[in-house]
Parts: sequence; C-alpha cells; structure tokens
Amino acid sequence: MSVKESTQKSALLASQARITPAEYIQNYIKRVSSGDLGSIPIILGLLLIAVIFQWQNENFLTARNFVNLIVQMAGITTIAYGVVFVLLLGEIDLSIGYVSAVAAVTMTLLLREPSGWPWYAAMGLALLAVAGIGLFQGLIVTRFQVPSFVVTLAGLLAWNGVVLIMIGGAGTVIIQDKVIIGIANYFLPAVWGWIIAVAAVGGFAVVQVRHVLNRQRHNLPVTPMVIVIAQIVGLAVLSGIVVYVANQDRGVPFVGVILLVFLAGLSFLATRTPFGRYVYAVGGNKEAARRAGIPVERIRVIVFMISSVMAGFGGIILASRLRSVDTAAGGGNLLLNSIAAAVIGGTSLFGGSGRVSSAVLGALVIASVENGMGLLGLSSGVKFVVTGLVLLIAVLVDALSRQSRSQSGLA
Amino acid sequence: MEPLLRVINLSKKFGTLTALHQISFEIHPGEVVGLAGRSGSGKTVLAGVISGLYTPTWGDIYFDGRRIQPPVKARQLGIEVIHQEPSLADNLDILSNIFLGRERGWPQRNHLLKLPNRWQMLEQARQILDRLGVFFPSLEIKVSNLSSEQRQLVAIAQAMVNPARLIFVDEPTVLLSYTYQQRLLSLIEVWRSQGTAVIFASKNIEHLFAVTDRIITLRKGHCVAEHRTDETNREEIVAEMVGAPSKDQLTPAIWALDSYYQARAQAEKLRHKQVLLEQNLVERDHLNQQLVEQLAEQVEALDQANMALQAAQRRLLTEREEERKRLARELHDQVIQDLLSVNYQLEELASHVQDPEMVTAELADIRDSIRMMVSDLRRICGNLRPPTIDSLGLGAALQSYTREWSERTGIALTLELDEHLGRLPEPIELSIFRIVQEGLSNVRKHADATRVTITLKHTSPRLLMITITDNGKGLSDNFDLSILSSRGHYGLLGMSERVALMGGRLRLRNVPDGGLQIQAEIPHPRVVPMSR
Repeated sequence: MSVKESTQKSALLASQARITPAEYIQNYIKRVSSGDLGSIPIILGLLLIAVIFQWQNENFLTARNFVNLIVQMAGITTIAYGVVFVLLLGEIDLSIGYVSAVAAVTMTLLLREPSGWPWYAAMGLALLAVAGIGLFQGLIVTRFQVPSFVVTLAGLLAWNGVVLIMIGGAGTVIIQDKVIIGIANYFLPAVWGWIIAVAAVGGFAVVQVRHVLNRQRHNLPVTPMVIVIAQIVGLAVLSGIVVYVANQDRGVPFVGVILLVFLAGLSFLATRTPFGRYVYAVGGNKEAARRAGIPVERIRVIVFMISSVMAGFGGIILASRLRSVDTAAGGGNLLLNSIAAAVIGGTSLFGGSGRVSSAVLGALVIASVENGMGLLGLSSGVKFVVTGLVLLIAVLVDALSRQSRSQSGLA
Repeated sequence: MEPLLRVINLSKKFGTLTALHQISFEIHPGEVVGLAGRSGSGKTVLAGVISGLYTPTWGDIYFDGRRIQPPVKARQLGIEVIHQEPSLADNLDILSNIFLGRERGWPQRNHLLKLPNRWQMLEQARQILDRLGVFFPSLEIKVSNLSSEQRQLVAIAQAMVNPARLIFVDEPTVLLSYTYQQRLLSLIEVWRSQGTAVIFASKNIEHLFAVTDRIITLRKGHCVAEHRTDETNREEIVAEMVGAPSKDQLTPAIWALDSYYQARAQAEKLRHKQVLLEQNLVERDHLNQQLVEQLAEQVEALDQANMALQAAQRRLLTEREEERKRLARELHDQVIQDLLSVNYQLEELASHVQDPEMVTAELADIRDSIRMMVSDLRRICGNLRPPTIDSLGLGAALQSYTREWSERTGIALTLELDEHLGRLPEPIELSIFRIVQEGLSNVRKHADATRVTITLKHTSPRLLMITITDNGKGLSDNFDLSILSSRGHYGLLGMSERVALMGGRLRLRNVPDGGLQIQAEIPHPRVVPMSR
C-alpha cells in the first residue's frame, strides 16, 4: 500500500474516531429502535415492579425492605453468576441447587464438633469438594459426549441424596461460627459504606477514562467524554442513594460488597481474558473454536467447575443467612430461580451471548417479585405463577428484539 | 534435505465410506504442492486430518522428522489451515476472531488468563489486512455482519497471525473475487520464498499451474499421480482428475483460435452447470437436458476446430512451398550469380598470372565479392532464425531486432522487458520472437503508426504477457479473423495459432486514443533466474 493511501486511511479512521455527543445519542436511539434494547426492558420492568408493589403496600420502598432485598437476592445472584458461564457455552447445569447444599452442609458439619475446624478451612474444603463435583460432571460431559442436561440431572438426584445422607437424622444443623454467620448478617458501618461507594465509583471512573484515552490514542471510535462523565456521575448518584438509604436502616450489607467483588472479578474474567473470549467462542461456534486450536473440552470442564464453585459460594451465603442447614437445603425453587435470573437478565440459552451483570439484574427482578408478594401476603402458588410469567415475558422480549435486529441486519 | 511433512499410507474411513485410501506424500520447506481433484476426491478430508480435526483411521504422519500422535496439534506445530468454508465465531468481532486462540499480551506464552494487549493486536491485524488488501471500516464489527467473502478473508488473516511452517490452503478461492484470488496466489509465492511449505488444494487448474512446484492428483480418495508442474500439462492433470481411460481421448487437437476458445468457454459453462447440479438435485433432469445440448454444441465446436485445423495444415504446406521457392530464388538470384561471377573472375585471373599487379587488383575484387556473399548469406540465415536468440536469449534478440526494425522503418519503438525475464525453453522463446516479428510486420504493413510500444511482463511466475500497442488505425469495426484469412492475410491468424499452440490466450482490441493493442498471455515453466 502506498504511503498516500495509508495516510488517507488513517485520516478516515481519525475522522471516524471523533464522535460528537449528539451523534452518539443518535446512534444509541438508532440501535434501540432497531431492536438492540440492551438493559432497557429489565430496568423498565424493575421500575414497574417497584411502582406496583409500592402502590399495593407502602412498606415495599422502605430502607428496611431495601436492605432485606439485597440480602435475599445474594444467594441466587451468586449461583446465577456461575449459570451465566454455563449458558454462554450453550450448556445447562441442573445440579447447582444441591451442589450449593453440598457445600453448605460440608462446611457446617466441619465447623461443628467433633471436627470443629476453623471457618476458613471448613469453607475452603467445602469449595474444594464442589469444585471436584464440577470437574467430575464436566469430565463426563466432555469425555463421553453426554448431553450436560442428562449428566447434571443425574447430579441433581445424586447430590440431593448426598445432602440427606450427610445431615442424617439431625434434621437441622445450627451454625455457630461468627464469621460465617456474619457473611449474610453483618452490616457495614455508615462510614465504610461511603468509603466502598467512593472506591467503586472511583475505580469505575479510572477504568472508563483510561479506556477512552487508550482508544483515542489508537484512532478508534470512542464514546464522547461528556457521555462518559455523565455515566460516572450517574453511577455516583445511584450508589450514593443506595448507601444513603441502606444507612437509614442497618447499613450496607457485607454480602452486597461480596456481590460487587464477584461481579467485577467475573466480568473481568469473561471479557478481558483469553479464557472468557474462548467461552464466548465455544458457545458461538464450537467448530470455529476447535479450528482456532482452542482446548474446547478443557474450557467446558473449567466452566462446569466455575458453575459448581459459584453454587458452593451461593450455598454458603444462603446457609449463613438462615444460620443453619437442614434437609431442605438446595431444594425448592432455588435451582430454577438461579437459571431464571441469568435468563431474565438477558443471557441467551443458546450460548454465546450474555453478560455476568445479567445475573444481578435478573436476580434483582426475581427477589423483588418474591419480596413484594411476601409483603402482600400472597400464597407461594401465586408467587410461582408470577415468577413464571416474568420469565416468559423476559424471554419473549429477547426473542422479539432478536427478530427485529435480524430484520434490520444488526444480528 | 529432511521433508517437513511426510505422510505414509494415510487412510480415513467414515463408517463404511473410505474418504482417503493409503495416501503417501511428502513436502519440503519452501515447496508448494498442489492437490488437484474434483469435489469428493478427498482434498478437504486430508485438510481435516492435517489440521487435526479428524483422526486418521490408520497411517503415519511425520512432521519435522518426528512421528505425530494423531489428532495433529496443528497450531502447536506451526501448521495453519485455510479451510474451504470459513468457520468463525459469529458472536465475536473481527479482531477477536483473527486472534482467536493466539491472543497477544502478557505473558507471551499462551495462557488462559493472560492479559491481552488489544492495541498490539489491532496494529498487527491492520498490517495483516493491508497485506491482504482488505479494508474494514472498523475491526470491532461482529463477523456475523460480514459477507461470505469478507469472512473468508478474516479466516485467511487468522492463518497469517503467527509465522507458519506449513500452510494448507484448501480451496478458499471459491468464495473470493478475482482480485483476492490473485492476492492469495501472490501470498503463496511470498510464503514459498520465505521457506514455508504450502499445500494448495484446488479444482482450478490455472491456479495450480500458476504457483505449484508439484501437483498430486487425488481421485475418490486415492492418490493417482504426482508430477513436477513443469513436466506436465493441463490436459494430463484433467485426465487424471476425471479418470479417463486413455489420455488420447482427452487431448483433442483444438488449437485453431476461435473454436478453441469456444470450446474452452463451453467447458467453463459446463463446469458452472456442474456446480449448479451438485447444489440442486431437483433440477437435475432439466440441467441434464441442457448439458446434452451443450455437449452437442461442443461437438460442433470441435468439428469446426477440426476444419480450421485442416485449413491451417493446407496453408502451412502452401506456405512452406512458398518459403522454399523464395529461398531458392534468393539463393539462385544472388548467391549463385555471385559465385558464377567469382568463378569468372578466377578464370580471368588465370590468364593474368604473369602480371603481379593485375593479380593483386583482381584478388582484392574477388575478396570483396566473397565478403558480400557472406553478408548476403548471413542475412538469409538471420531471416530463417534469429542468431542471437540461442546465445543471448529472448531479451537480447528482441532488443537487436527491434532496434534494427525501427531504423529500417522509421517508426519509433519502445521495448519494456520484465527485469526477471530469465531464460525460457527454446521453442517458447522462438515463438515469442516470432509473435513480436509478426506483430511488427503487421504494424508496418497495415497500421500507419508512428509509435509502437512492446512490453513483456510476468503476470504470475508461470505466465508471460506480451503487449504490442501502436498508435495507428486500429481494427475496423467489422473485424473478423476468418475474413482476413480468406483474403490471404495470415499475419494475425498465424500469431493466434502460435499463441493457441502454446496454450495461451490472445486478445485484440482498439485502445481508446486509436491504434491496436495485441495482448498474448503465454504460459511457460517456472523461470530460472539468469545467472550472472
């Protein structure tokens, strides 16, 4: 290529790289109207839920209930983080409910006399055990090419049995370790709430601004600085409200911080590392991934391990909240709620598309619905019907936007 | 030298279907091996085995002297495969796809958790795409929004991320337009010169002959033949690909220009129809009908070719007689007359033996006559065969001929020779010389031109393009070779026959500002660079 041509090209790139805020907003509107809705439906849904429940019961939008909501959603959010990875591969893991219980029961039994282990050792071994479960299930899926649906369905039955055997006749085992109970029952002092909010917003700001500057340096189209600053300010206001409201009651729940840390870490894993890229690639086109020399089977096994370990963390958080484990641990609608959370948040069941943050949004919707209907005193039958409808609506919105996107050629 | 890849008795079965049957071959660094074969001959399955997508049923693979335990870990060994159908992760952008599995970043070793350096990847991707001559407005477009040609280009870019030791190119040209096909062919040349071994599978015979050193023909999973490209021809390869029982049936003498091209165009059409057939079984009957009709047309074209051939043969005989007559006349009128006069002078000399002064004068006269005769004979020989071509090659012969021609006719002439012209086989050099000679004589007789440009350029390592452009009258609107030849003007026809005989193509067209351009594209074996 001649020098002239290349300067022309880089001039072209540079002209593309500069986007005015007006253009940016135009592009955004164009994207939305062509069906790429992003998180809009779910945020609208959350607002709708808040309005309806507040209208029915004025206790819904109170500081106390807000803090409760965070604690209630922590368990399924953590499990749903793992589900997102499995769904990205286009697989399913039905065993997570009882795997979470295996982790909780193992830890609780190790904490209790006669073994009386310290909390970190008990928790470490419990997570190690469920990582082993993930490895085992993943190896069976990949080595023998059995559908993950069947393998994890078998896991669902077997690990349920293991939980019952481990708890035995005791029925309910109480947790007495202060640290473990604190996971879901400790609330940060007001000052610490503010410090963490400032740190989170500051971290976000640094990452965003650095990203924009880097892109500018390499002649890539960038989000206008005005918009970036608006985003940062928006986040600051939002987290300010969260901390302020939480401080009106008991303070920011410690488990909320854990959720944030997981969100940041797993988002980094999914979007910034080759591993995350490979998960998307395997989910999008397994053949392409194989041709590219990606160790497809190893990636799949690791994802099943991530799913089990996140389920383990979720189980521990749930046990901490209840301060005990019993024979019903991991049962009920925990499994389906966790998967529903990921799907409602926008992760495709067909693999290759979705975000870690979708777990948080989806879990927030499910927890809000349950919490709100609990306040209204509705039966669990009605709760299930409504949660089912919400899931259906979420999937329909996704399907419709996908259709309109493929019509406008932006699939 | 140790072969880079050696495959011994490789077989691959899918169920009861044997896709590859005891294939053996080897390839050295810096060698381009062509795989010829029709659809279903096993080229793609072989690509699958070499890239590690399939495990061979039996057989051994040695790479760099070491035995490889299948499936082949292609990328780790430095084997890149460009597949016939690109397979990309649709949900990722162009950049991620190009570097999929080979992300740049820290630490350099491939690791699932390394920190990728996006900027470094962008820079390298731009360089690679520049080499391919592709321009995307942004590398952050999802590949699902790309055309199938663009997807294939992304797949080719994938293979250029890391320096490879062996590149298997499995017919990606099907999805590429002409420009990118040529780019790919020149890329193969570059890889070859860098010492990379290239296996190039293609149905396109022209492409195979353009870049390969050797051609292996596959048919129904069997390796049926292996040739050095310079020692075989298109007809032989086609015959092996389709498995004709006798070569004679497939090499008809169809070299009269018009019908030869008709036949070729027909063959091209037929191939297109064949592709359609493969795609659409429902239309098979209808297409069969068309095929039969086209075959009938082709037979007719061949008949015409035969007629033209006979005519050419008759003309050749007449021309040979004419040439002999002319030569006899020239020898008789000049050389024999001169010899007779020398003889007479010698007789004179005998009678003057006593007078030394007269003898000296006479002898000087005789020597002059002999010198004249020698130069006459030289000119006659030079017309029969350019003397410089054997010793100094085509370039020198053309230079001296054109200089002499320009002086003789007073028409300005520019000669541009390819700097890597090298030495071609003698018959080809002579033919090219004759083509230029005929072209120039045509210009002198008919064109009324004041300026002529002749260029000889390689369009690929095995194709030489000869262009003769003048600024004269150009062709008349109702130009027709057959009318010309019926009036006894054989210059252009003879030229076209020469070109067709060498398997090349001839194009005649008027250039925009008046004047005629003759373009002849001549295939030839790979050029040996001239030793200095």
